[in-house]
Amino acid sequence: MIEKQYPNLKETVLTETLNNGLKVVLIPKADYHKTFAVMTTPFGALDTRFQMNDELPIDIPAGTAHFLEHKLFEKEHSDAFTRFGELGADANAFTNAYQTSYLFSTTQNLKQALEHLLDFVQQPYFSDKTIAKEQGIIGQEIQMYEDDSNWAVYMGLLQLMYPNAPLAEDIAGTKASIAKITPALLYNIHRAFYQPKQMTIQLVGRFDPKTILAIIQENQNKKHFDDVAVQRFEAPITPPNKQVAFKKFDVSRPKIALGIRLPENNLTGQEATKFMLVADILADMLFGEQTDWYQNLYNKGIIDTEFETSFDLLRSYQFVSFFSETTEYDKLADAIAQQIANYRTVLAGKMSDFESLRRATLGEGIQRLNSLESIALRGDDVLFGTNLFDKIMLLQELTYNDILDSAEKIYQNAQLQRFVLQK
Amino acid sequence: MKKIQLKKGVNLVVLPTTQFKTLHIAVDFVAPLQDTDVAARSLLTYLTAVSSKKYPSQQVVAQETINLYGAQYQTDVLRFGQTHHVRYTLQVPAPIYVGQKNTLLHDAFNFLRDMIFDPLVENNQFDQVTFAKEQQSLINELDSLSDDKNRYAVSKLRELTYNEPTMKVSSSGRVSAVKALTSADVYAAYQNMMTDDTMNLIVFGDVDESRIVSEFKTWPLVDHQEKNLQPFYRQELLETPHESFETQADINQAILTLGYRLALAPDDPRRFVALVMNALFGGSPLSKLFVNVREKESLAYSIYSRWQHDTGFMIVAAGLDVDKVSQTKHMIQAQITAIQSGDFSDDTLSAVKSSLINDYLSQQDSPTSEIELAFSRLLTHRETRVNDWVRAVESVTASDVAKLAGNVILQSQFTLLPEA
Repeated sequence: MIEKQYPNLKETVLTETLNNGLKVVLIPKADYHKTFAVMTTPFGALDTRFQMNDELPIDIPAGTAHFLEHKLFEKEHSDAFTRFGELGADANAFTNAYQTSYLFSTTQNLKQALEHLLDFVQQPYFSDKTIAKEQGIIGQEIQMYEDDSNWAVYMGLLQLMYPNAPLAEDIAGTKASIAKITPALLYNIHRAFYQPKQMTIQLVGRFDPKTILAIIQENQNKKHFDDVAVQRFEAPITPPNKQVAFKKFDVSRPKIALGIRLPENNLTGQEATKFMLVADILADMLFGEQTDWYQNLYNKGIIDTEFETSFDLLRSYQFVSFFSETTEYDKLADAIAQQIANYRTVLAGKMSDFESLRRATLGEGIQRLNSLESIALRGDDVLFGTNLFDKIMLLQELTYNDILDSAEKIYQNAQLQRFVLQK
Repeated sequence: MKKIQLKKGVNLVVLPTTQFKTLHIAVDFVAPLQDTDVAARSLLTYLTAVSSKKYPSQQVVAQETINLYGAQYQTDVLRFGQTHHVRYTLQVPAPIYVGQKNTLLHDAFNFLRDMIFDPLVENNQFDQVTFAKEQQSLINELDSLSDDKNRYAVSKLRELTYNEPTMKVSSSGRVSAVKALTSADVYAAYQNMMTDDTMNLIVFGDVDESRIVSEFKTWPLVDHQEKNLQPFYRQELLETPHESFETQADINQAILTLGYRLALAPDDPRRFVALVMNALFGGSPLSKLFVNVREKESLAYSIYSRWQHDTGFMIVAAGLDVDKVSQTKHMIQAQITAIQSGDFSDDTLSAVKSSLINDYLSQQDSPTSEIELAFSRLLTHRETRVNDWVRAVESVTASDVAKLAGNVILQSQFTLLPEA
């Protein structure tokens, strides 16, 4: 195992790639009581078309990654979820734009639970019958999301910024798109994206690393997998066709989302993670609670503590977003536009503000390390290969000039788009 | 758990640990729940979250939390049965990880002291400008809580279930009561809290007791009136369940909520049986509600039960299609009957117990849970050791569960329906 130490954080990461390509990442935490394990494939809602070896390319209907996640738990004669329950382990799974993850946490029966995780993820069972039933359940789930106003405003903004792009589709898809899913499609995706060389299994918590590695190795040695060459085709990102949209919705106050769509991202690795960290601190310097800008709007009742900004960088997509609940959304939009227009003046001479925000961001990162789930899931492991510890260490290196540079990249010529939910 | 009495009615518990990378200071003001002052107590947590004499605006408060290495300063109101809690918490990174071994702890104590004990007050009222703003914020928050349909339905169920008027109120108060408050009213509530409430303090992290006690010497702590708090609420049985419904536009799914009485005495050892029974009924993914109602029959997308030992009730909430409400209600009731007649396997029972034990042991990996547990021990004067807790759950038998299920009686039903 390759050992990487983070002495400042008192953390150690052990990594090993098995013969079949499966990547194992172990982060032992001796004074914890539970162990958190997560098995991940970098396959998510953004994947719309792929090719295996020299076979014909395959199209993936919206919602398929999430659908497969649900279906993987169901086996011919048993339910994988129930088995975790019998072991006293707490299991779950999730799908986002760029990954699907299967996870459990437990204080007991770790070996059995770990073997079970590997087995149920690697041994699929898909049939016409189980797929038909799932189409009903997910149909309800989609409807439930549609009743959620926060979700509706978020999706509304994405559709405005990225019309027809996979990012703007509900991760669960639509009733029509999931109706196209067949067992053959799911088996093909499994063969491509769930083969060991695509996957990572990560454990954080109380365990002996050697024992765990041996359990995983022994389990993998018993299995045979086809080695498949996989090529992904990214869906093209088309330009937006309007700047403003409204939707009627039963909310007590209007909800507004504003976004700035940035050019397609080409950063990878630590560069990408660093850019995200800088962009977050930059947003804090311009729009954070401690700024005069925020306070002025807060005092006028235009925003409240629900106001949020966010910077996202995922694969080619790159955007800034703002969310608020307010009746005076025109004033808020004007104020954001104004602050963006003034960014150079606002940032000038703010070196010490930057320094205290950098330290605070570092402090927040350290606080996050209490949680095993955060250690496993809050890094940029899947997108950029940087774990949460790398991310925190990168914060030590950031400079005020990084802020000024990224401000030019993000806010020069920024076009604000706006989506509003109201009665 | 060692309790140090700093003053009359002021208790401190220090929980030293190096497991985590944070330091926590938590302060709980506890009073008997009273319909008349919930709104004022709720609003004072908004005011003291964003202002004090030393840090007179939200901007300055935010700047100071940034200076404290990204501290999380939070104020909340909570309730436990018949007690109402105003809680202040401050979390900072463990000083050793940010190279501030000596000063950060002290600065954190000073900040929290200033926010709690030195509010932005003049002429016996909170600063008018801050007051007007925060009053509006709380009103907005209460309004938007009703946008969360599940939460809204559960709050309507609460109004329907309890006889006692104070029990019907949410911990944050009603919009109408918040609107009626003046700044002087809220300051009066603050002063009452400062003299009458029981005050419980918890410090959690890599700390030593003597240092903490000496930090508290800089706080203006005074004797508080010691009250005999009665946290647990119990209600007589209703002869017929209370039922009501409401229709709303712009929702797709219906929400069905049910309230069941399960009133055990606070110290009744059957509380462990109740925990297991709830988990078997609807409190876990292995439960009858989840497996039978959601998975097998696909009647509901979401469904759960929750047992509330503090109020003596168990509630069920389900999100479902409107044409399935009555069928689902019957099926929920049938699951209780099934448990009464012992219709569940030993495997499921033992899995449910393992899962409860797993959750319980896992709490030791969360500072928030550990602090919550310590507050609850101070309130209930009940302290079960980890091993005893695990053993008590392990020893629950199938017949214990079946027998206790006979005491579960439907008392209320509220349904939220989409407009036809």
